Amino acid sequence: MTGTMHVADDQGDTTHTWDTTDPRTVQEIEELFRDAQASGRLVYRQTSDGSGEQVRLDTWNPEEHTKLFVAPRLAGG
Amino acid sequence: MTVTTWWLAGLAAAVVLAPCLVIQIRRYWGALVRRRQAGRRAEALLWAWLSPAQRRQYRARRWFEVTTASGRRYRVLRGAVVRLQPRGSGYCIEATSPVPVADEMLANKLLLETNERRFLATAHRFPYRSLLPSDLGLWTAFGRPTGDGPDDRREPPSWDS
Repeated sequence: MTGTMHVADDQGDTTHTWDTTDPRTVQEIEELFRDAQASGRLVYRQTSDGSGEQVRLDTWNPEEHTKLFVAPRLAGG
Repeated sequence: MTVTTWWLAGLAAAVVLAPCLVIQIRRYWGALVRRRQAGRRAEALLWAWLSPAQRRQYRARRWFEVTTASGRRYRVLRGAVVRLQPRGSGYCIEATSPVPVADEMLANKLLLETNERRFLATAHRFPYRSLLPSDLGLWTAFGRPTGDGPDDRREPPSWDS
């Protein structure tokens, strides 16, 4: 199973992909997860009805949650 | 100095300054192109995460609405979020890092859908009064009733597509 993580940045987003048959790619995504969580960014997975659901590294299932978005950190403007 | 001397001085200055000017223009142009590409990427990503109803709204109006778990309806605009039910509040919330506006809109949508309380705790609230015809009830002659609530009895005809 393959999946895609979109990390929002000044380029629009940077796309990272993983393949569950290649543990190295999954580890890279886990590292991105840790970085995102450490910097206060939220990670969402896409649900079938067009909405999102927050996912954390300990609840992330690379087999099922195959579309992820790392949102920018938000603050009151 | 004679006119010829002035002309020669001007020509020399142009020869020296022209490359600098070209470099600046190229830099500016490159930044503009990169910004447009980033905007297009962010738009495509936002589009992929919108529901069919939100896509229709976004295509027609460049904003979309989100209904939270509590039943409140918000309109996600470019640069702000407005609460529709109960109405009268606007929220200013923005990314702390430089990202295209579509990324910001997607982040707002997802935060509203998953954690409205956190959104309200983060955003700065301000009084808001919409001047959109649809919000002022001016679509009655053209739109169709939605029956969703007293604040949004009519929708623009373009939503039918």
